[in-house]
Amino acid sequence: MKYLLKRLGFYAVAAVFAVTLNFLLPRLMPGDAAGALFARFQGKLSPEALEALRRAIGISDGPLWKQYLDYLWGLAHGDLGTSIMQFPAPVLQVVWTGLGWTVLVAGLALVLGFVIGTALGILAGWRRGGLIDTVLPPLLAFVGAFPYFWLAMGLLFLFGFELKLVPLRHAYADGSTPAFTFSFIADVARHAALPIITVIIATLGGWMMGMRSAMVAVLGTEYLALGRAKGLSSLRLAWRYAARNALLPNVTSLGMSLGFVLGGSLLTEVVFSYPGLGFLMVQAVRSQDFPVMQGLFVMITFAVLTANALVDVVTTVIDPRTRSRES
Amino acid sequence: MSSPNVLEVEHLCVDYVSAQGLVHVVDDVSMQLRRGEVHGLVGESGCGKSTLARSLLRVLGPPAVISRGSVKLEGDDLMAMSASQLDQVRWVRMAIVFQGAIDALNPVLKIEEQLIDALAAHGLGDRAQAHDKAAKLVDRVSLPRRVLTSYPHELSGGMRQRVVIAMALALGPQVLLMDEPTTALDVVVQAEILDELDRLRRDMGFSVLLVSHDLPLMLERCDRISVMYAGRIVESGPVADFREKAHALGHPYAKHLLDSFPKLDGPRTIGRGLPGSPPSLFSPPPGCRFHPRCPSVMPICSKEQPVLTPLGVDHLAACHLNTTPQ
Repeated sequence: MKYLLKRLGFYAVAAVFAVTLNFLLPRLMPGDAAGALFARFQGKLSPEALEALRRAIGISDGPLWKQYLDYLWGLAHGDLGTSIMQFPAPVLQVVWTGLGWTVLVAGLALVLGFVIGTALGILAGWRRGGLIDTVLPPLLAFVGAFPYFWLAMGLLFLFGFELKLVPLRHAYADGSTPAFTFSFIADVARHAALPIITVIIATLGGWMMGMRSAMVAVLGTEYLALGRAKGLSSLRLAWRYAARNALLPNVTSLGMSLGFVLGGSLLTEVVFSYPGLGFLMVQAVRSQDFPVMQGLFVMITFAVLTANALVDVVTTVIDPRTRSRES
Repeated sequence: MSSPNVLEVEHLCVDYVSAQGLVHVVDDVSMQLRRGEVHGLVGESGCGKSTLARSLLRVLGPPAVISRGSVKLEGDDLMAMSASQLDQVRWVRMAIVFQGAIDALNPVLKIEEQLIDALAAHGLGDRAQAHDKAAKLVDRVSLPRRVLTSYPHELSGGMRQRVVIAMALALGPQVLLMDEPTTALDVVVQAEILDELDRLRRDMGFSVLLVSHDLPLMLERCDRISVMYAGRIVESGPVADFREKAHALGHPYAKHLLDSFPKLDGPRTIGRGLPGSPPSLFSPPPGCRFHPRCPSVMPICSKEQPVLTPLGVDHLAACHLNTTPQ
């Protein structure tokens, strides 16, 4: 428990540090949001209107410390400013919408890839040299060796364009409004299917090989030999003795990937024109929408930290050796 | 059931499959374990003694293959059994103890669960009964009951070794195989655990096959000793025959093994080590495998493999010195 609190303290410090950096970076870089905005509206708006716009967006010329305090105050209230490209939508709302789609596609793909890959790894490791162990690793290594965007575009071309089995872009059909109806959910699923499948195909090999080698290592341990000598059933040996121990390193990798889901789904979302965070980021950079970029960075930072904290908690639950570190 | 032997090993061969071909790690070994005795199996590292002990319960994983021979536990051949038949014999009639101080215990399960799962696997699944039994097992090896709710890493090496022994005795086996049970422990803890084991053996009446490279320990604790060299048993006999002067006629390797340990009593001497190292099992020397290091080597030694021949009462040695007229 003390160990956990210590870890959480560490994450709090890391979060403050990241938020500060996030505040400073755009201000240290040449060019700024206000300049970009005014250049865009040059000659279209009266000086009074521009001034009003400045205020509305929250660009101030005050001293840095005051800006910082304002920024923290806003952050604490969920106020990340106003988006420039989707003016006047608040950044939080813009980012929030993207987050939903990204969690759906990238999150689901990660979880499914992890579960399926780990299960295959357990089987391959337990039956070393068996059918699964012989056929899948080279196949998955082959598929995994393609650049992801190439694989995704190839599959999109084949299934979306040639065979017309799945839609080509977006999260749901143009013109339909989000609602909790069966037809809408089915439509979302149809749009999400190929992005999810491509990510699973690309990542399955890593999960499987990681789990397989961990299994093989555990199979060589004394406690497994002792378990076998005890006459335990194969199921118990494979599950409670082998897989249970082999799972530990894979769970750590899962946590690491979890954090990158939010930022790292960029390629998927660009290829499938999927309106998640990655796609949003590209748009924000293109239209120099600093508030949205900053909001995304904050979001990603918090996601990575939360994911790591979560892994810490899960690790203490599944690995008793990490628990008694109270010294 | 009139046989004095509880375990009979005949012509057992264990090979390791490697890229360079088969390695005969245990080569045509025959031995007997008598009811109630402690039988020591001694030899240098890599001589095949652990492999032999583990092959008796067939717990060796790939690349080890048992290629020949039989292991009869009260007449039932374990090598001929199906996996499910074997699972019924394991732990119930024959159990094994590994070096618990290293990693013989599953790090993610509590001790109690690791004691109980063996009971459950053999049809003693009643939860309350199993709890009771686990507590009794812990008492039996003089451990406090709190170890039941501990994880292996929370215990000392000596405590873990006691847990492993308690576990092995859970179902009252007739034979206990002990693979270097005290090697990783200091001598005080080692003596405590072996004393404990002696007491348990008197109470429960099981037989022990004790594998170790520690010959002085063997001389102190065993009834009979078998000496292994490069995958073969070269000498086997009652422990008294191995004590100092009584061993004048034995195998030269065993003699050297005895000489290489300093003695606590008697005149101070500088221990004589044995020059050279055991042969590669990929290409063992022809004839007697010890002949390249043997001080009494004869021409016949590199040509013919000596067989185990009687040397005295209950005492066998595989050496041409004993069969060839000088």
